[in-house]
Amino acid sequence: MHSRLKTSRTRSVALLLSLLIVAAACGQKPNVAQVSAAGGAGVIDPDTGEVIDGSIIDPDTGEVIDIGDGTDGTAGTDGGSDGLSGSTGSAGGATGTTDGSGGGGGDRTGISDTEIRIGIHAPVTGAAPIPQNSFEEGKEVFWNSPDGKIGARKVRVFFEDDKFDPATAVQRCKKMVEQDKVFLLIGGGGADQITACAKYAQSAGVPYLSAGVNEAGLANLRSYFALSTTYAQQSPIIVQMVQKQFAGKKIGIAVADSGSFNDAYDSIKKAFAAAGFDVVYDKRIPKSANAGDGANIANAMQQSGAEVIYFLSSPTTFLYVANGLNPAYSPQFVGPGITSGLNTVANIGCSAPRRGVDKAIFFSPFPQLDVIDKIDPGYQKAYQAQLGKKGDDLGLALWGLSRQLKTMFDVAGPNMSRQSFVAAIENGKPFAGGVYPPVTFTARNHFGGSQVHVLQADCGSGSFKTIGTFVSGY
Amino acid sequence: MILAITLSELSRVLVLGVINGAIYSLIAIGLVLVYKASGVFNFAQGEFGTIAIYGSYIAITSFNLPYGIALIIGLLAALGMGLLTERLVIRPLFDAPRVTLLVATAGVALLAIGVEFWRTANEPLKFFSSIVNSPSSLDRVSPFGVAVSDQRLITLGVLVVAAVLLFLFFRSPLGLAVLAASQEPVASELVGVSVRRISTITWGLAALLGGAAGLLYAGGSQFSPGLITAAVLIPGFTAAIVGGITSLPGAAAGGILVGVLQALGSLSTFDSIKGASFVSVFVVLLAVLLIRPQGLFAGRS
Repeated sequence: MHSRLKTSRTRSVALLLSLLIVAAACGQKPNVAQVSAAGGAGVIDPDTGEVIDGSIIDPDTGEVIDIGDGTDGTAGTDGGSDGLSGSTGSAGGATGTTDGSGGGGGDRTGISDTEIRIGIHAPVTGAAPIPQNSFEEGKEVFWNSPDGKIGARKVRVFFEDDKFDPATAVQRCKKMVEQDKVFLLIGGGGADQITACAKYAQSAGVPYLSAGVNEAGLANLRSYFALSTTYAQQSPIIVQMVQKQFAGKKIGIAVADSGSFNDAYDSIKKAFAAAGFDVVYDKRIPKSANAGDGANIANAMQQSGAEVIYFLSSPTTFLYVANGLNPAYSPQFVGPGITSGLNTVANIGCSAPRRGVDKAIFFSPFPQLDVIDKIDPGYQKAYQAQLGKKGDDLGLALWGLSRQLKTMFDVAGPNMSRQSFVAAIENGKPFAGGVYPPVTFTARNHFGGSQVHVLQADCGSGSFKTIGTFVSGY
Repeated sequence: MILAITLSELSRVLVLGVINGAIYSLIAIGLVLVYKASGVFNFAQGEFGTIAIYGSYIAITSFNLPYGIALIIGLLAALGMGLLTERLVIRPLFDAPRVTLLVATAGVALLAIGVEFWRTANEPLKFFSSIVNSPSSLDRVSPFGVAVSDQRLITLGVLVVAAVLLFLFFRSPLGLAVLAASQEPVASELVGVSVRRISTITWGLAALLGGAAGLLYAGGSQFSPGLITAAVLIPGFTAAIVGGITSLPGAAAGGILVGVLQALGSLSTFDSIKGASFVSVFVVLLAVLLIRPQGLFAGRS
């Protein structure tokens, strides 16, 4: 009996170890991603994301490089202008002027006479799955359109699935930087992944851009730029909207339990409190909830009596909660976001018998398809011409982002390096691609957005409709 | 602290915990069946469920088949995957160390997830209808004031039916042969029981249970590649261990227990503990392994 028990215990411990390994592999562990992301040991402070000693380490050579502040004007020792050799200027050397004429030196990895390489990562699998075909099809539509020419150069876009996992995101970003030799990186969605990759990009001296997400962990990254308002910047606008449209309603706050959302959570709590709202439900919810969690959260919201709920999570968590609502309970969801306003969310949520997503309002850096012909007629024309079909909202997100980036490339000039690109867009002037709201960056502020588009789920059509464009307040 | 829990909150947690636990029970019973037959912790058990979802979904959307037929096709897909796994992976490795088999089943799960993703990359997030797909099906029954949808009631019903059928099965000659083959394979072969045939049968049964769990879990909600492995497999493993890993009634009860414990972790009292629901499962698992490794429901050996 003793030996059987011993065998059973051994097997059980082996199983436990296996489960722990699986759990460790599945879940994100705070700071692991950024630690593993660093090109060299101790490059990034895991808490703040700051580059220790204010310098950046080249991941290949281990050399300290200066991302350049646009003021020193010292020529780089190796401009790397001979193509995609991947050489990194040993000294920043950007002239950093704002008129687009500078940048003769510095790191020109990813730029040749005929090509500019950029890398995008986004979740195709995981808790916020985004259709891969839309990314693959749409990633170069703008750059292949008449408006997308950068002189004689063509923009080539590399795309990687980050699996909604920060560690994977860093691996994929590193791959795009080291193997694909991209000039800059773009985060397509997912705050944790964007934060992790942005920190890696800083350590590698690579400019990194994304739609606005969190500010904490990104605020001290010289190479990071938010191409639209951050979640915290959206909080007062959301509260103004609630004040105007849902005055007197009881408020609920449900924010995913991720460190990246802490500043959004704090800011919305403060904004609702300052406006005198009665917050009856206030909870951090699982980052990757399942159907059971969704039903639990929905029931708790109902019991609290919350009538308007600020919701910030992955799209799948939102859908689980919306689907888990009791029929007698129909709260108004509002929130910031990039992916929550995608038509795939409305389509799936409206397919469920509960239709809990109906009328949900989410802010977005890009408008929806119902107004794009008025805002930018070139979008659908380009899709039709290049792919023979209409573009979807994910393609629109890429199109708008590309337009914004194009204005930055134009300002950085034909001889741009990574350093001069960063310095050039810190010029204090608005970048207005026309689809995303304008953004303005300075050396001290890389969160330069102030406007949003406002989308509302419409279960009649199974899609999001645009109910406000370029909104800065109510 | 305890006083902060209201009766209505506790009712909600218990009702939803029992229902979620039913899914874990179905997965756990499948795990126990395979373990009893092959001595393997089957990491592919969750994917039997996900494959069933995809099978049914494709039957509905690509071939316009009625929902009931689609469910059967989904179960057949799971059954096919289970039998193929047994024939192509388990049987060739039958005499290999158990850890090899464990890794092999993990490989099967990863392969299945890869295939699911490969076939759905254009739109990985999809919606799977519930068995009764109407707003009135959402709150026909409300025990303790907690609305329970028809889909969830059916889930509980399937667990009860599965438990009864398995109870009867293990009292049939074939069921006794399964038990005999799992406990004394050599002696069973000597008296004419084909251990390998029994292995095939148990893998088939486990796959059907996994398929049923997947179809019930995803009904009325969204799904994506690897859903059941990601969301249900670890609670299912915990349920199997809590139940004693070789006890089918223990697995059923363990699933309900894990479901309730996980739901208790969502009580507002535990708001200050991040991830309390998830942590509670591991705490229980660890406690059982350290204090009572033979499981809560296993008899004295």
